[in-house]
Amino acid sequence: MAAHYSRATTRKFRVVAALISVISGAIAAFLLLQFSAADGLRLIDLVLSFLVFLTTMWLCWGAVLGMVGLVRALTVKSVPFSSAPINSKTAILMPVYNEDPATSFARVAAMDAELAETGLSSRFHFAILSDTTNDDVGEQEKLWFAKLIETRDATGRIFYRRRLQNKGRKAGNVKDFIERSGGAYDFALILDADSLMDAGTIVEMVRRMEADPQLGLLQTLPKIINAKSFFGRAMQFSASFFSPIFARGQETLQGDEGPFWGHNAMVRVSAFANSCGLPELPGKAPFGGTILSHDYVEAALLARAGWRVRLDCDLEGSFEEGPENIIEYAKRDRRWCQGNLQHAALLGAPKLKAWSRFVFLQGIMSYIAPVLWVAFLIANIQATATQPEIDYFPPETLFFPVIPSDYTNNALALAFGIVGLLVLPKVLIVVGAVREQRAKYFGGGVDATWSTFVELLTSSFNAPILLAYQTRSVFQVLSGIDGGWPATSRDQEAITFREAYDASYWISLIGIGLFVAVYYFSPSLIWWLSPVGTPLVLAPLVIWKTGQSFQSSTFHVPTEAELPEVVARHKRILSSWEKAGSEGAGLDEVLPADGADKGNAFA
Amino acid sequence: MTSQVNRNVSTMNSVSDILDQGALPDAPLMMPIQNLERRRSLLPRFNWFGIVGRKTANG
Repeated sequence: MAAHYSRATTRKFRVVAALISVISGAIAAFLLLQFSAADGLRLIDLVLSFLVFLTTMWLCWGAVLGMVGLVRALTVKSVPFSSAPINSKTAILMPVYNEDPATSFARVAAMDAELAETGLSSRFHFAILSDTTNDDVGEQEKLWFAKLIETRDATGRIFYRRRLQNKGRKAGNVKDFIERSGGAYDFALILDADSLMDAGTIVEMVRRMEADPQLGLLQTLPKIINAKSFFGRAMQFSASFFSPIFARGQETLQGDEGPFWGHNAMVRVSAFANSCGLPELPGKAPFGGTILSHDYVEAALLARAGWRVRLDCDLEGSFEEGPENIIEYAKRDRRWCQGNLQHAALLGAPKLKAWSRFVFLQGIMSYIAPVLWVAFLIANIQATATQPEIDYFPPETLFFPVIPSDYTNNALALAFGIVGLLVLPKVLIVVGAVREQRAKYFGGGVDATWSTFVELLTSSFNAPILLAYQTRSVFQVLSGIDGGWPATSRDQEAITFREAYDASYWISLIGIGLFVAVYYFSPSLIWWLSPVGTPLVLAPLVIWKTGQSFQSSTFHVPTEAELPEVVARHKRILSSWEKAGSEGAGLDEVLPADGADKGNAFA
Repeated sequence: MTSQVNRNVSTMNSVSDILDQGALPDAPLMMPIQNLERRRSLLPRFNWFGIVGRKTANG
């Protein structure tokens, strides 16, 4: 565990980061105002400047997180894991919702087998909490649970229950467990159906929870694994190479009011039970009803009750799977959009810590910012289209021409500044990785630099498409359209062009419309528009192509070179289950290593 | 992956027994509902009805 700063130091970091962001936004707005108002100040110039102030401030905040994280990652040394004895009882919760039970339950088997090897499995129980609505999947869950119990010899250690009415969705699922069985446990490790955590990390989390009685929640930073497509592997690389640095920045700024991302995190059951009973929000969906992004709210409630909520980036044995294509990403993002915008209703909730309110605002802003960029784009086109002709000989100057001041350099400085805010943190992370030898885990300095370059290019090309999806999501939510609770599609096969086209033809139409409008109203902007317009027009092709399998040394991550043991074990178990399902053999792999742990109820 | 997994899992007689034994332990812990309603409207008291077509939470 890296040392955490005191409250006062954390506050100083926050103030400095906020000041840098606000000042950068103000400089950007000033540069733009000078440029656009060179021919006379109009209302549209003020609107443009305000939009650029907000969006630049937001971009800068992200860049500052990266910079702070980089400094912290390079200066702070991790403390080795403890070996103190464990006296507590922990429930490992895996909520499932219409997922493939064999794959999910094999993860439980893998983690249970790993824990058995530590000799501490009597301190842990697993509970599979099913909210599955599909009865066929529900029946399969029963069979695979029986298989899991049989192969792990885990009667009394691994539990299963299915709720027929999934009130409160995932938060309600966990609440139901706590109200039924929470009294039996000190801690609960909350997972997702695609989560995997190694035993060393789980045990260390328990030790940290035991060592700090004020610690209410301990969040890990999950690494994405098993990505196969170009899009998936780009995200996997980004999550493995950049995210730990950005997360360190976040860890520094948030102090004891850290995040809860809904999974791969451990909670103190008594604290969680006393602080995190979520009400239904008044009104109808999408703003009223069940709180969708419950995790942020639960973290805020724990902090409100005086508990520490911490993100420990050094807990590395924490894994999840990510979306394999832009459509799956956009589906997940639609859900998150609704959840984050819903937090607007909670900004004024009583007694929340200021940082918790800021986190809500940050989440809202992450979905409003794309809309602001769209507004900026449209306002720019409008401003150029309605720009008055320059009058070099106004009547009052007679024969002396008036040449308006040229502030083109301002516009260029602004454009470079914005690109710099996006690129600089990632470039510095590569430099830091090469300098600190971290790059060798990503194929070496050259490969890591190349992967970063391709990732930057890809994310820039994908950005307008994601912007279109996010803008649509925001308008859907604001129009009162509820996105529901679609199951996450994991392990999806490569996407077909037809699927890509059906999901994105409207984006192409918008792109073509934009080009036509700009060509007609402000032809001088056509080249400025092309970095945004071209990906929009090509959206179906981009989505299809990036959703295909991609095997290359580009985007290489350490978990591809050497599978973490728990991931490899999961693969072996699943494979042996597939065989055993048809041939009734191959179960030795998953039997507990320590006979003493077989079938024990916890002490 | 779903399609790859052979679903011919042995439907042993003991599945229901295993499910019974796999029921969650009985140790209830109450989760009281937290108050998240803001005390005052963030917007100043004003008759917004005529402007936006609805009243604020506090009228």
